[in-house]
Amino acid sequence: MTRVFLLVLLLAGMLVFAGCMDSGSKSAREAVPEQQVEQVLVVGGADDFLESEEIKANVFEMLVRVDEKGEVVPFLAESWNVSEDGTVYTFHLRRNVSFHDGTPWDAEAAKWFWMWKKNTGTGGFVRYIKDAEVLDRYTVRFYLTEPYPSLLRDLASQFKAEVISPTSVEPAWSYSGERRKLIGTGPFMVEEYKKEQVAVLVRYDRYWGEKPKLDRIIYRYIPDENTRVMALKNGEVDIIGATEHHASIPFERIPELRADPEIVVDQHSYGRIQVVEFNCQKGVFRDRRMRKAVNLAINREALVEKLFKGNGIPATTITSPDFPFASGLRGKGYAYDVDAAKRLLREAGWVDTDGDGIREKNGEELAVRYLVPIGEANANPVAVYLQSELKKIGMRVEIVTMERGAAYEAKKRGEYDLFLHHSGNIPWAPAGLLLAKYHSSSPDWPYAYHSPELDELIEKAIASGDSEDFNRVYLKLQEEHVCIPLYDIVKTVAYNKKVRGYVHAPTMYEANFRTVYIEE
Amino acid sequence: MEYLLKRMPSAVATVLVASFLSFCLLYFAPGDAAYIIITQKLDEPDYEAIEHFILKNRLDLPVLEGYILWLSMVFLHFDFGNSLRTGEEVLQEFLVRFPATLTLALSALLFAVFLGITLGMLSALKSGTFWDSIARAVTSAGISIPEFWLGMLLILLFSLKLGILPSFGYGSVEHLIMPTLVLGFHLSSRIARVTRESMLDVMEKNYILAARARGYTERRVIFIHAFRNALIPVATLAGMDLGHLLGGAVIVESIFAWPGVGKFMVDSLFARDFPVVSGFIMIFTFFFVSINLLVDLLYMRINPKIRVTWHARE
Amino acid sequence: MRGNKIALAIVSAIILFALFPDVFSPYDPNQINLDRALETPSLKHLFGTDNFGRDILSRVIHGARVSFFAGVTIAGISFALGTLLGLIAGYYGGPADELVMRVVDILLAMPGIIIALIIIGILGPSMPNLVVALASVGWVKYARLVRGSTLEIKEEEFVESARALGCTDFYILYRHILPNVISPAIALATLDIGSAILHIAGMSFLGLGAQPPTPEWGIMLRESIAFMETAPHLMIFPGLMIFVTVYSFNALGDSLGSRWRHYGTLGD
Repeated sequence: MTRVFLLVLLLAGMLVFAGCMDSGSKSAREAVPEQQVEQVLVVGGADDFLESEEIKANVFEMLVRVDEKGEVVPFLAESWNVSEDGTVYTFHLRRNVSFHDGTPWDAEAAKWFWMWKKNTGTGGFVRYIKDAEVLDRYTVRFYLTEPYPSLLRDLASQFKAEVISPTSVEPAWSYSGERRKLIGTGPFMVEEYKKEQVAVLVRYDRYWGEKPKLDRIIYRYIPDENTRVMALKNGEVDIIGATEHHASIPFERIPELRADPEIVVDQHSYGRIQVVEFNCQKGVFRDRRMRKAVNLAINREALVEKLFKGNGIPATTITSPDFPFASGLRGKGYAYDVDAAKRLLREAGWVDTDGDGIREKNGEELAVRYLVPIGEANANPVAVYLQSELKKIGMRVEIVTMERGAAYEAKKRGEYDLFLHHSGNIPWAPAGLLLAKYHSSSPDWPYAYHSPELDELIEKAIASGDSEDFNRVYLKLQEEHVCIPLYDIVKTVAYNKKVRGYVHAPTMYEANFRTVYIEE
Repeated sequence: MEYLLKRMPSAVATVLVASFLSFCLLYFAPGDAAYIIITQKLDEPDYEAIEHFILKNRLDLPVLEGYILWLSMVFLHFDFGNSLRTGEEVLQEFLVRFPATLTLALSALLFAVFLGITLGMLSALKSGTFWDSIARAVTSAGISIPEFWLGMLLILLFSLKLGILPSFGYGSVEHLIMPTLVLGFHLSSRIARVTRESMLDVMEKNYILAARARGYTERRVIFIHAFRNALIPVATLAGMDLGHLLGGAVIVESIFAWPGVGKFMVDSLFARDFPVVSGFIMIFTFFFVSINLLVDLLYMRINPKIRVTWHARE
Repeated sequence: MRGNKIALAIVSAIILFALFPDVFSPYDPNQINLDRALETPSLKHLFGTDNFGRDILSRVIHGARVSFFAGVTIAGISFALGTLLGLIAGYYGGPADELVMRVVDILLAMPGIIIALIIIGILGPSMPNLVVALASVGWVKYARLVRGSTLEIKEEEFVESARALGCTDFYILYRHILPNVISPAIALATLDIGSAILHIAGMSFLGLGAQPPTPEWGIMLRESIAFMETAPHLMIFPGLMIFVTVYSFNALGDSLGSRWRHYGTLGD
């Protein structure tokens, strides 16, 4: 009896101990003393702080960045030039910049960064790193083993090339040091970080650029999307949706958020369109008429209005015509014409002979396999809608949901008729995307649309970099009905109306809190 | 303690087999870890980065070599490797999250034991009455109700409608209440049932009759003699069911955004992050096997009969 | 026992729904109708409609088919496999017994859900794979139960005499031992169906089992979270169905099992 009693006491003791743990993060709001009128923004994020490029953009910066047109522009480097053979990059660094712990940002730090990346980095450019040289206090030279035209693009990526202080690794200034502290050059610095719980950022008063108005940002990890919405509604967080790429607020909840007088819903298009790729090499969609029929049969307006309650922009072109490289697509979008669709199907030989609502040809049913990788935004509603629309023209859609890995393998083997994907963003599009998907050398999309003519157009465009040439590629793709564009996946951010000054960043990979302030 | 020594080899074997199986099977599963992870991080497949990732993490090694390399790191340096997804040490990832899961499991166990024994005793002592019916109804419900549904109902009531409990998160006792209830309810029902049956059984035994004949008060009879003996099967059940608790924790962690091991495990599984999965499995299994051994030892001390039969079996 | 009659009635209803879902469903469970989304229960839609305008009652009924068949399959495979291995281990003893018990130990050494998770992680989330995963851990309790009973029975006199008479092992197992050990196993199986249905719903809720748009109770619950505040009826009915179904199966299993009292072996 005593033993059991002791065991129970022990367990109870552990429970009390556990309960006393971390009472600090009980409520972020309560931690801030009432007297101070501190400007605090509480953010609800889907990923851990270190996993979210968007929130880290407030703490860490890069040598260069990308603007909304996809052009590389100065950031921590003011200007640069590239040698004739493309293996030597000389950077002139921004002056009067220091890291959060006071370490100066200069050529020494930049050199360290380059060499540290060589040993520890993950990114395309890493394997090309050869050496670095300090020319003077603010000029540094990077040497590559061979020309790598995407270097600047890679250096603009938060994930691949965020600049950290040489003092943040152990041992400091070592080229193979392990990252121990979070020290960057951005407008905010990390005061506290608890993995998968919270990160507290405070304003860095010696920031080189325009100082933010916020004193503090509290980033709370809330992995479940509905929980985030709840947290916004009952005031536990001030803003959601900003720190993920997109679609982190379930569209079903947006109407109720709009209806809430305390909440502002802010949407912005980044030209990212959700599309369904056809298998153009195998199966019924080898025939262009079939592809065209499907594109004519989908009511995109209804999809956005009724299913997504107006959250999104119907897309009838395979990529957004707002991009300079695809501006020629404007006005060439697919129409909604169910009768024309049915006619095309009949022309192709598919007729409903047994009256069951599904067409047949040579005894075979018109059934297509729609592969949906788990985790794609809005995958389920889109699948259900597509299935329902195509049933109306006599096509049976079999929805197969698979987890990503298996889905990619199946895609490479061509075991699909339809595959859910997206149209890509800058800076990946256009060059990267075209090579990865539509060029015949594509390793991942062997069953997408390919043709020698298309290859030529793509190669020409990549060589010249000219918008006109890219436009020709996209026009050809649009004509060939290579995929089913559905809607523009806008980035939706929702925040409490006391949050002012929120501005969408140039790319969806950044949550810009530099101009935000709180007004009760 | 020879018992311990006898059981050791099979325990070790279990741990090794478990980790090897999980390592192998993940290796062969469809899906390329490098591709999946990089594409998700960068939002596009960067083939250079993928190549680099494979080389850096030695994903190019064949299965056996990879496993041996990993195993040697584990035993020689206590280094379980790094998560492919986060780059952090696997052991770190585990230690950061495990306290949360453990807290939840223990608190649920405590709750289940208290509620279960209470209900079971109530049912046994007041057998056939109104209280018995209530207790049995609650118990039956507990076994049949889906945990996630119960959780959702509680959230609906206490967080959304009444606003008195937080619906997610970790850090204070309020956060612990609903997850504990949800996780522990099922177990409490099982404990209640076993307690009831065991108690009813024991009450009819001879030594109870003897105790009564000796003139002890009813209270003493029940709590000192009957209760103690009735608890034996309950203790076995509670010990064995740590596994069920840890399993149920996955769902509860998901609903309440509880920062434990469960969600991380599931995500790692789908990303083919096998250092994490194999490492976690190994740590888990080790933990588990140890608990089982401990429970068995405890059981043997409490119930000398088992000790005798075990020796007799040799 | 009045309670049992109700349980029996419910179980029969579930079986009927599972066998003839279209007969009982007023609508096509996959028919969407965006203009009639999120309607509360009414005469036209007894359980209301979901966010796609699909009739919830029809989906719940079709869900019975999914859950029931999967549950029965899991319980069935576990039962068959476990009983077989338990018989062999108990009767033959020696190396066969050692092997079976080793495997049992290993499987018991890890939380069942972890094993199921791994299997799903490898095979991919789908209903058939979930069945395989759950059956792979489910047979263990049958094996232990049957092995225990077999060990007891094989020392009995009538078995001795049968052997003396020269009956083959197979005959003895089939005619003498099996009938005596099978009843508790059957009781366990009935309880197991209920438990299997719970696990199926749970795993599907996590996204690791049946996939949308299959009408399955666990999936329906997962999809209902977004509407907890605005349309709670989405959450109530599927959950209630799971509860009632499992409760009934358990009640049935209990009354079968109460004839054979076992402490603590009727675990998950």
